[in-house]
Amino acid sequence: MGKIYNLLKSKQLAVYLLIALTLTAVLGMIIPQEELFPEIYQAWIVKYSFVEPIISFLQLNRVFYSAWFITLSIAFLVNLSACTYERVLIGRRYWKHYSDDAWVEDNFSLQAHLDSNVDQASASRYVDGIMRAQGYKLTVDSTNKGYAKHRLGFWGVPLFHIGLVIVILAALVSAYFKLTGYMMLGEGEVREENHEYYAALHEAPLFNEQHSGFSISLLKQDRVYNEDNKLDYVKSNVVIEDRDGTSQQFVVEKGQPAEYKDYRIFHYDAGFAPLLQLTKGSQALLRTYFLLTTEDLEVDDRYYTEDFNVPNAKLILDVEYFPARDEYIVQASEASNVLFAGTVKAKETVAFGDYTLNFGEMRYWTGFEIVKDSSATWLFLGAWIGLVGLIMLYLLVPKFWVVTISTCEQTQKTKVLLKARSLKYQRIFKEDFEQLVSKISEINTERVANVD
Amino acid sequence: MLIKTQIILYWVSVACYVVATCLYIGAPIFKKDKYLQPATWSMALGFVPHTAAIILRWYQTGHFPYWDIYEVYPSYAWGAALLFLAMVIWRPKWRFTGAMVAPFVFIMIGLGIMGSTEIHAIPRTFFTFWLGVHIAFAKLAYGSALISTGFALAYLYKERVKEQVNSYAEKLPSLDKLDFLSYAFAAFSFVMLGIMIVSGAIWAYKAWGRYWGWDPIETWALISWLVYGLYLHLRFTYKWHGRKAAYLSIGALVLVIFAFFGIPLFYPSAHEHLKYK
Repeated sequence: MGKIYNLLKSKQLAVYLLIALTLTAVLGMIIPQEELFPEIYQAWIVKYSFVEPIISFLQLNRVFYSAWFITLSIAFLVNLSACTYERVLIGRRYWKHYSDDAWVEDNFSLQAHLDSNVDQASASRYVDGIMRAQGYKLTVDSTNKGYAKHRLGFWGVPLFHIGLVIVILAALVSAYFKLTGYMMLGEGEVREENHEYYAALHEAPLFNEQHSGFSISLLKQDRVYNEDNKLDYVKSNVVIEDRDGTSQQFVVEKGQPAEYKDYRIFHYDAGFAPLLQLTKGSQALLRTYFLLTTEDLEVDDRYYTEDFNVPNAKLILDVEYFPARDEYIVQASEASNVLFAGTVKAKETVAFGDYTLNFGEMRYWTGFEIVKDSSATWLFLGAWIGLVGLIMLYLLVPKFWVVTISTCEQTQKTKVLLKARSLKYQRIFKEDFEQLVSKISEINTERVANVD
Repeated sequence: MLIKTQIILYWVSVACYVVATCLYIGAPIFKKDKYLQPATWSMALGFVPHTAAIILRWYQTGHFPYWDIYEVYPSYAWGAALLFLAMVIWRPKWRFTGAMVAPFVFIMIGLGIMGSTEIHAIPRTFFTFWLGVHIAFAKLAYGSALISTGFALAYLYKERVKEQVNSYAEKLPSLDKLDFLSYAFAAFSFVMLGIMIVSGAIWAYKAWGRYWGWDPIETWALISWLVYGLYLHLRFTYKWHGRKAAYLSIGALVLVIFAFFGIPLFYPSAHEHLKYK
């Protein structure tokens, strides 16, 4: 058991896992990932079809979602947790040691010995003043005075690694419990946050149908134009009504989502929804707000729907709408016969064959991306903790001085013995040591020895 | 008129940086450390029109230059130059690292000013404090990676010529110190990269509801960060000092450059504004 634990907490294992993770990520970038770029992957696999069996077997087309990558991540998490636990123990040991009186007896790499003409008490006060001015705290007040600085730095490494552990754990939870969905809502329309009402939905493997079931409705969409009369952005006034009857109103625009419980509702796209009325003879085939989308909302010049199959009819509609002209270009086909192709003005009724078609009242619709990810807050918290740890690690370097002031029996001069150590950056600390000793020696001392 | 003025200013700064590059690189080749002083002055001189051009572009567009190659490359070059000059003011003896910084700065400006100068409407998702944090730390990461590699190259140079009589090499810091400084700046780059990645994740989460999507730029930035993490672990675990650490620092810089500037050329990405047009 001990051997396994030693392996798990070893820094050597950490190095190998880091190498493995790095190489895996590189592999995931060299081979196009099907989840991210399906078209690119399809073209690539056609070109390199001879590697397809290996790619499929090893799931190299979806590296970051493959079982072996998750396993590697978990192994890294276990190693990181074990290392972090060890660092916490080391941090505690250091903290405990440097909190009691014993540390003044330690070995110190830097030492200097000065003689002074002033009396012991004055020398002691002078040295104390200099040490305090340099930010040192007196932690041991005896014959050997102990000064310490930045002891919190002991916790830098453990804190950074704790932050990383939280980040990875939260990321794994996110990967397995997250929901991302796309829902289109026309003005006045109400939908429930439930499985069947999403136009597109991705539920992580362990999401387990934890839908909230609140209802979401689009009250009104405002299209905001800039001074050049071009569409600047779209604002959607949204109401969320929960099962207990409470409701909240939000304004959703791009970059400013609505936040409700663990859900975030983002503006994804928007379009027009004219009321389409289609009849065949005396039979009403369709009376619906017909959703028209666009390639580029910022351009805002053409909205369309292609290959729309009219229910209960063999009719296929292709519709384009041009907001600037407020008119439609419609092509209606039945079994590859084009029955109608032409321009239809708003609220105009056109007839072709047995059909009549009319675009009436115009409404808007907004497509919302709905994300449920309860671990995101923890992930960012872990990142902040890690950042604090890094700052402590690099800026708070624990340093210790021992000052012993006594009287030399032979010369009757006051002897000042200085010893110091730093836990990191020895080279820079040596320069600091020399400077501080020079400062102290301004007390009219003769520097007798500087033992390195 | 504004564009013309910017281009002229950029070319003036490129000229100064080219002079600095020649002097910085000439110093070890010709063993003349007296080249370093005029090189640094040339670098500082080039920084003035460079800054002026950045400010002009900022005034023209209404935002700090971060959209399209024409803005991004010169602004990264500016960040690297600023960090280098700040370091030289703090520690003048380290100016020899300009041999690494100066050529990258002028190449990046040169590439940038060949891009389209068209002003684009900025997506609303860019109007956030986190964008500024993300970009600022990206520049610091890039600059410190360059400087770290500068020290690494100086280490390799000094190690190579240590048996020879070389007045330039003698004036360089000791091998130990060069190795330590390369590590220190690599560690700084590691921290800056980490903050850049996290701030980008926060921004992405607020804008699009996902903090990580294995986007190519995100992933390559993570790879760069992992490589610097590996560098630090190899140093402490396997005592990778000196030559091995120097080569690893150079390799890490190549990754950083590829992650920052090469990826948009090869992959579709959420960082579409970095694509060369």
